[in-house]
Parts: sequence; C-alpha cells; structure tokens
Amino acid sequence: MMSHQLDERIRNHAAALDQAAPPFRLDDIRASSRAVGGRRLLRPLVAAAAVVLVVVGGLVAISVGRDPEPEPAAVSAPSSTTPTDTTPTEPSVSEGLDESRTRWAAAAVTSYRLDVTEDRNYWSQGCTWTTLVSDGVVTESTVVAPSTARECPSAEWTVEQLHDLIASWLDSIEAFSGPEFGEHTLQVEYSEIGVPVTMEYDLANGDDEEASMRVTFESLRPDATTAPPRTNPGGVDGPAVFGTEPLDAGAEVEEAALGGTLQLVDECLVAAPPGGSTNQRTLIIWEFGTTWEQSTTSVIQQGGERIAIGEELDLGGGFHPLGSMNRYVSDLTAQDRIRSCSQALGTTELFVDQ
Amino acid sequence: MDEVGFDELFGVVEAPLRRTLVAWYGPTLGRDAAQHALEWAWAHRSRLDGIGNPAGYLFRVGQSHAKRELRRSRVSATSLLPATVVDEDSPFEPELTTALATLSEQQRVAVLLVHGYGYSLREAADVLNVSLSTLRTHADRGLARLRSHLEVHDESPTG
Repeated sequence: MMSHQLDERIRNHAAALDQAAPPFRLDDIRASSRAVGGRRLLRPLVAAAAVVLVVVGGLVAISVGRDPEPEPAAVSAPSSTTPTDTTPTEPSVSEGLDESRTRWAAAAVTSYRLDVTEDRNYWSQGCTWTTLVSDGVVTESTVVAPSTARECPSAEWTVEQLHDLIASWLDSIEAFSGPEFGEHTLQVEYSEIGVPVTMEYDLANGDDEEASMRVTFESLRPDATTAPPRTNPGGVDGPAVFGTEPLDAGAEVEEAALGGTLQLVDECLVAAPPGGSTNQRTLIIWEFGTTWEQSTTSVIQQGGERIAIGEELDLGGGFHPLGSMNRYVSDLTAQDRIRSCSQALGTTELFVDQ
Repeated sequence: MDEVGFDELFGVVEAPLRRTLVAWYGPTLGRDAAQHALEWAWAHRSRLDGIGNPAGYLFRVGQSHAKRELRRSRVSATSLLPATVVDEDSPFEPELTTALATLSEQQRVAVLLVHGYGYSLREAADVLNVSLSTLRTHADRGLARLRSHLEVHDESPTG
C-alpha cells in the first residue's frame, strides 16, 4: 500500500467516526444542561483542599486531599474565589518534591538498584521492575510479571524518572483542581536522600488508585551518599543549559563528536543533523562557562568561540540517557529545563559537551 | 461569558472536542464525554471567560467524565473503540481499526485529528492541551507505527 492510500483510509475512518458520533446541536446542549443541572446541584461537592506535610522518622509524607463536603453554594462560585481554594496547596507539595530532588542531587548517588513494585488494582497488574544504574547509566533492567498478569510493559526506572512521575501527577491535580473533576489524593513518602519510597495517586477518586507503587532503593556505593556537593551546580543562561563545574571530577573526558546545525526549538538548544528528521535532534548540556548572547542569538563557549543559531556545530563530549543528567547538572532550574525540553522533543538522550 | 459568547464558543470547540474524545474513547463513550463537557460549559459559562484555551479545558472535563464512566463500567477504553470484527454494515475498515487500536491514545488522537480531519498541528495541540512539539511527536510516531503495521511504502519518484 502507498502513502496516499493510507491518508485516504485515515480520512475515511475519521468520516466514519463522525457518522457514528454526529455533531451536537446547540439547542440540545442548552436543553439537556437545564434538565440535569438541578440534579447536579444536589451532589456532594468538593470544597476543601488540604495539605499535610508530616515528618515520620526519616521519611517525609506528603498528601494532597480534597474532602467531600456538601456545599451547594460552591458549585456556582468560581474556584478562584472560593476561600479554601486560595490556600497555596500545590506550591507546598511542589516544594516537598523540590526538596527531595535537591536532597537526591546533593547525595550524588550515581550507582544504585531500584525495585519498583505496583500494587494490583483495576489499573495495575502488580508488575515489579528492577533497574540497575551504574555511574548514572542504566545498565540492566528487568520486569517480573505476577502469574495472573497478562503482560508487563518494559520500563527503566531511575530516581529522576520517579520524581518526574510525581511532578506529572502534581500537574494533573493542579489541572483538574475544579470541583467538577472530583476528589484527588496524592501521597508520597521519601527517604532521607529524596528517593520516593511509596507513591499513591488517585485522580478523581474512584474505587482504586491510578497508581500505587512501592520502591526499594539500594545504593551500590554507600560512600557516595556522603559525597560533598559539587562546586557549581550548573545552570541556565537564556536557552543554554550548562553543566556542573568541575564535571564529575576524576572521570575520563569523553570523546564522542556531535555535529549538525545549532537550532532553537521551544527555548531548547539542539543539534539537528543535516536533512534529518525532527526525531533525530539532540539536546545539549553545554560545558560550564558557556553563555548565551541574546543580541546575536549565539552560544559563546568557555573559550570564547561563538556559535549562532543556524551555524554548524562541532562539539566533543558524550551521549548519555536523560536519567543520568543528575551526574552532569544538579541545578534544579536547569534540570527542569532539560526535562521539559526532552519531553517537548520526544528524546531521552543528552549530549554533554566537555 | 454571556449566551452569545457561549454560542460562538460552541461553534468553535464542538467539533474538535467531540472528535478528540471520540478518537480517544470511541464513538459511544467519547460522544457522551463530549456532551457532558459541553453541558458543563453551558452551566458554568461564566467560568470560561478567564480560560485561555477553553477547548483544552473542556477536553479535560470530558476526559474526567469518561474516566469515571470507565471505572463504573469496569471496561477498558480500548474495548470501546470501533469493533474490529468483519461486519459488512460497519463503516470502519477492520485492518485500519486494528492498527489504530495499537497506538497510544495520544498517538491515535493526533493522527486522526491531523491526518483524518485536517486540523493544523496548533489546533490539535490546543485541544489536547499539549505543546506543539509534543503533538508533532505523537503524530509522527503514530503515523510511523501505522505505516509499519500496515506495511505502507513511500511513493517512488516515477510513480
């Protein structure tokens, strides 16, 4: 089959969906909304948001909950003006996550084993994933399915990815904070070095959580947990993300080459191969000392070399998985930028300029 | 938002909202979710004034409704997609329907909105409330997976 035939088949499928689910008429929506509106006012409503930050032993437990409370008046009140909604709930929880990320970055653990087990519920089958990370790189990953499971998807969990997962849950709770979305809960316990130990997430509470996971963490280099923080954590200058100084002292300088054209995509600096597809763009962590010059839209490297957007690149360094970025940059703003860029670009690999 | 404003909003968001939810959850639940979101929009139209991307917001309202319904009925979302069994009366092509069901929800929606309905990447990104790059990635990967599944070949220069 040829490409144009596929396009036509997709258009036919779309047209068939329109037939199966025809358009609504405005008058019908208005009429049916009036008919059900009265009943909806009688439903218990979500009114109060609560945040609990509890320190238990070495663990920090964070929960975000919305308690059902029959308050019909709240239905017509914009959420932004509901007094309980002015409580700065998300920032507190976000701060807890940020703090855990900071503790994890400060611990500088680059070799560890993670066992992530999901509880069985309607959404989850009870799979267990084991990941071995050595020097910031995932070297082994396995998944074990319980006998009753159909199939467990493969996954390479790292601590950074668990943090990202929690961040995405927080985003969802913030996005669906209105009472029309129902009741949400999120509870996370962290270890002393910021590793999530238990995670329970329930968006629009039903009978089961969306996710309930237990994590066992084992550092494979215990002495690394007491390693001092690096001199400079790296950072962001304009769209340029630069790495720590010194960069993983004692490590050999890597010699991989990165060529292509420097491009700016959604505030992310990437190398794009000549004529390559958008899937082949590479996100760059620049060497410490690199700056951004907005007036010329150029990167200025530590040695003074200037590379403008659209110009050819010739960098040396190493390619590394996204999950290892903690090893190369520990500044939280820079890490956030890398995560958002990698998500926007759909890439899981970084190039670390050295 | 007054009634005239809602009428204008309805004209803009009805089709992309319904098509997105139907592509995600199938014709029955997807349309039901779209109806719920539009009814909610009418009942709470005063709240929509300050929302920059009402289509994206209403998609989330519809999605929450669909998730509640899925929990209640205890069925998977995939099982609600158009049937893949051979049925002469069905307007759906079984092979393509099966291939579409193998895509992630985001990929399937992106492919159908962009390649099936002809929405721009920006329009599709807005209703899904994702960045342009993310939408493009979903559409590209979804189409690539479809092409692989259906063994689609590029046209040769000589035709």
